[in-house]
Amino acid sequence: MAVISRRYILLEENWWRHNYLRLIQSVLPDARVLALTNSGALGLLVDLNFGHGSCQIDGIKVSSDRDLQILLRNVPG
Amino acid sequence: MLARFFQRLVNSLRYGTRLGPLIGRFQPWDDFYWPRYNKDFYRREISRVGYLDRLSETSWSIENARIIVSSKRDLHPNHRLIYETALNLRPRAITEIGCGGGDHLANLKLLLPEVYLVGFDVSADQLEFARERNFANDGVVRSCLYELRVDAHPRWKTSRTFCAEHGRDIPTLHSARGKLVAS
Repeated sequence: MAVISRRYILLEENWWRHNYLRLIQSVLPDARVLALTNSGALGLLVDLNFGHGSCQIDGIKVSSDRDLQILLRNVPG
Repeated sequence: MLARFFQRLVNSLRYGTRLGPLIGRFQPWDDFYWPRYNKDFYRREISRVGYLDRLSETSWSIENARIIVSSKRDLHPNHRLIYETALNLRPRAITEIGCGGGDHLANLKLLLPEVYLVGFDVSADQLEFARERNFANDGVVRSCLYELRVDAHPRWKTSRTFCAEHGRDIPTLHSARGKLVAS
């Protein structure tokens, strides 16, 4: 499931079965990817406009699927 | 028949083990068997969920961009993440790719009434269900002939989300920058 605005793409999925980050980085190499955690949930916020204004939300910067898997193991809740 | 069995075997490994990211690199087909995913199937799936699906079914409030619901059933954590992120970002428009029954869009409409919302789904059955369930008289949900693909790498760049009702392609993520949603 993807929710998209003009600047941001928010992905909320079952992350264990995906390698999204590699795909996102190959298609959108300039985008910044933030992991958002919230009471046991994990979403990826892709900021398409990185470099042209600060992101309006705080998140953990992730750069690989391995980062994401490690983060997922430690999501509270 | 054999191919279908093989797909199921790989999908079960992908769902049930932590081999998902590895298998995802080589799996050329979609995760879901879409012909099974019709309106009745979706309705059954929804009825199994023990969380609050729609904010319209209870009273709610927003405190510091956090949604407070008064019912015993809370929002699913993943759904809460979507809504609270949207509340924080306050975009002018939101598109949902794969909107299914349209519950997210209906909730976002309540939370952010000023935001332009549109949902696409590849399944005509699900869109019919979404219209029946949430959007009887407006055009929030629209059909597309092809779903946006985000896990089959070789095909992702070339796949399209085609809006059947408007007769035009919606760009893929590859060219989504500034084009996907009217602002």
